Amino acid sequence: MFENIFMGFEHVLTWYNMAMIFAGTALGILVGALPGLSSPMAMIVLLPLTYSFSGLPALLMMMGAYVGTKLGGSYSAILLRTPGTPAAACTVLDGHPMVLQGKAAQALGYATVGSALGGLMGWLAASLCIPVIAGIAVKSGPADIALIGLAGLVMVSSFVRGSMLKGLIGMLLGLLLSTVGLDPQDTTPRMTFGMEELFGGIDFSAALVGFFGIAVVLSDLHRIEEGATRIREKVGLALPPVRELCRRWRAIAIGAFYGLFVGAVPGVGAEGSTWLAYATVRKNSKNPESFGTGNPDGILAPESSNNAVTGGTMLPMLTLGLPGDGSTAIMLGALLLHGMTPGITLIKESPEMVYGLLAGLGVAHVFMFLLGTLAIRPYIALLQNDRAWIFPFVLIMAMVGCFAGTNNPFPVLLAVLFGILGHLMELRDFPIPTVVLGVILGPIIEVNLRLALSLSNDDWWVFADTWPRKIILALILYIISKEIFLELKRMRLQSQNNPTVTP
Amino acid sequence: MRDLAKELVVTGLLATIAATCLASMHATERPVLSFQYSSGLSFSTLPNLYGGLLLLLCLINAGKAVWLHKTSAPAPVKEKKAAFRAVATIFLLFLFVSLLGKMPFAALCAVFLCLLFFAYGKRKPLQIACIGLGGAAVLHLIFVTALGLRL
Repeated sequence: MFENIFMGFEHVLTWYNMAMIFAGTALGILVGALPGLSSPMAMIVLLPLTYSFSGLPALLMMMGAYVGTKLGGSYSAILLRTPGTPAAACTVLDGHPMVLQGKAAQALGYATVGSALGGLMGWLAASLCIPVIAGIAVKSGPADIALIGLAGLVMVSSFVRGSMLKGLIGMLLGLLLSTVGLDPQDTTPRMTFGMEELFGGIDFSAALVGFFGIAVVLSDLHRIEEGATRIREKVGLALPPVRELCRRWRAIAIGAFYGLFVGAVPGVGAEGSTWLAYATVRKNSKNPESFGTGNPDGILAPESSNNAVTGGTMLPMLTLGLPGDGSTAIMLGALLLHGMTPGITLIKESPEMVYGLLAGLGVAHVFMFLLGTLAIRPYIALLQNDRAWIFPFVLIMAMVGCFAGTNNPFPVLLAVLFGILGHLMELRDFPIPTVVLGVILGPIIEVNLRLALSLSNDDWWVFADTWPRKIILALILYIISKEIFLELKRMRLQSQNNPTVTP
Repeated sequence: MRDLAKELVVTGLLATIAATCLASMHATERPVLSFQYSSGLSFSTLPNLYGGLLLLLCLINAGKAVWLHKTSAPAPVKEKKAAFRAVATIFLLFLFVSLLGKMPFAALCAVFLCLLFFAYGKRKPLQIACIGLGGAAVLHLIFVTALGLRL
């Protein structure tokens, strides 16, 4: 088990790879600090840069950005009362009151330490679990891979924000888009409309840039009106004393625990875990009434949880190829763009990538702590910038990311169209990550489904002939039936409460 | 536009995509010289399944929206401003795509940046020009000079 982890560090601890992680983390903190720019956007911005690098350094840079945005989000949450990322919303509750009490430096210190410790705990737990899960996963056959992919899609559709119906619509749209191009078995063109550019299928970069880059900018344009907020006083960072941290270890541990477990469920992301951690710490506190007025535990718990999620999301991503949130969906897309198949195939063919990324996660947290401690002033100066100056640059970098992969404007055109579609869907609360996930997992599911049927002479019982397969099938059916029941219940309640309903 | 109408427009758009894909699959003929199918799934099984289910769920979503619909107030001015900016952004994105590779990258970026700054409410010409030209130069340095991308 440990030799794999050491192998990962061996690949990561080179000057070049460390520089990549450092640069990604620095950019991640900056993007996270800017309200309206989230973690997926940081990774979309990095996409064009990664074409010049080989697989591991490119993914390590993205890993740094992923980790960095988690801390950056807390800066604007604490100082401006505007969370930089959705997951940092909980930090506002106790972070901003501390600023009003003149303890901004201490609040930022608690956020930095909480994020670093939570992230390292999540990384440690992931490092211990991944070799075990990977050991089981490598024994899977095509039927297992197809079922796991399907279960992941259903879970993501169910757990993302909004109704499951909309989640399933997004997922099916993604799956449908994934079938565009030549059939993998007999090369019949499917839905290409006579366009040669579509013979190779929908370009992953077009889907990623369109749905996560352009659509998000279009949906956040109303935030330009909010303008830039100025912080009048000079803000630094004051790290909490070790004794104080030891006294508050429960908040950090509870946060890390929730972050790890919630992050490991595909599609849930950090938002849910931060609120869960906050509520648990508050409930178990001797002074629950002090929460919301500047209690440091109210910063430590959500920040620890927010960063521990990064360890949790690595479990399904590196072992099964299922993303825990939007950012890991982009990482999976980047793996595909670099010619690697995420999931079990990756463990079998490129274990150095799996364990290298895991080691990179730990290193990124160390860099995040150092950057957060030593370079907080420039970040605070930058987070006061107006979004009107930033969005145009994000759009250009996103489009370059799409163009540079093929040197053909067609994927860029597709990305713009996907951006418009994604924006319209976002306006009506259709969860966008499900679409991208469908595009990424669609080919994996199709190839393995057909391979499993071929190997079993078209016997559909192959998908239920072992206990793990039966359990996965039961899980899929349980989630769908539970969501249908809840949806019907919600509709009945809504129609009862709404006098203007016209049945 | 009312909430219900917006929901129906987006759902209708998704249903149209599904219907177009289904029609395209229906029109696709299996090539005469194709491989013998070794599995029960032909080239069209999954696209038809996905397209059919997508169409069905869009219809259910539309039905649900009609069932639960309520009247909503007209869009506030702020929302209208954001909508204008979104339209301007989309127009400029198409312009950018159509000129990509046909115009020097730095010049294209400078024009695109300046126009977007203006669309996003910036009105000081000197500031727009400085950030637009400076930003375009930095982007050119990163992508073309340092990373060697052929843009």
